[in-house]
Amino acid sequence: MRQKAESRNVKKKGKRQKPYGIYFLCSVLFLYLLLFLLEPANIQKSLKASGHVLFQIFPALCLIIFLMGIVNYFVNPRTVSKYVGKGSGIKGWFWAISTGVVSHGPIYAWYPLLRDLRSQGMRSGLIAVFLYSRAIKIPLLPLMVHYFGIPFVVILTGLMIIASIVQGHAVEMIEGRFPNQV
Amino acid sequence: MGSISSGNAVTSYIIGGELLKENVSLIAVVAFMVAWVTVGIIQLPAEAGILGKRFAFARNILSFFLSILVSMATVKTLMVIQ
Repeated sequence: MRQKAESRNVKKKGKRQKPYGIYFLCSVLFLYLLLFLLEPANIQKSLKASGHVLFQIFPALCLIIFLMGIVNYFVNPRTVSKYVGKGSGIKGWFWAISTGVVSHGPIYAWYPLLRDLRSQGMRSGLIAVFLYSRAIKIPLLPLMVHYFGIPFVVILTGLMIIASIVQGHAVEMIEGRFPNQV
Repeated sequence: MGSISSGNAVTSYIIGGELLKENVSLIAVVAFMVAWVTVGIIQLPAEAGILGKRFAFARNILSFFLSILVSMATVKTLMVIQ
């Protein structure tokens, strides 16, 4: 009985994951083709808008792909663990906040890099801190000062850093409480 | 509204500034701007798919409530120092 269950588990693990990305791509292409036949002018506008977005995020994507390459090639789990792993302590929180503040580009472009870093030992709480700290945009602070004034910006920035730390701890508590749910 | 919106943070500052001119409360405007940059309902499927459902949902729900707390704390602190 036990042997049968084990062999079933092995089969399950060995089973290839369904290529949902390909399905999604095909359905988008199909929809574009279908709508092109019905509304060619609007589809052209839509393609132009998509091209514009791609053009805007292209530099950030290049940077992230480059960083992913560097991380995968040079950074080993021991290094990750030292800076942002379980034993990183205050240094880890500092790294997560500061890299979050200086990071650029759309948030979704950073997800694969963060997944790679987590698989090498980065704490989930520090991923949450990084993502929250991205809300603090140093180049945009002058504009915020223009609209809301210096005291407001200083207080809000300080509170957001505190909130990022609170969120990091809360995410780790939640993950610790429900360890088997994905 | 901030949670379901997506885009450059600059846009939220401009909308926030205009909302203030229309006499919307500062707490609501700050919550809107903070939620704009910390909650990502649009990106949630991607975040859940790559970083895990539990992580993505926990992070976004926490960010939503934290945006309210941060806005209230910001306005109260401003009132105290001014």
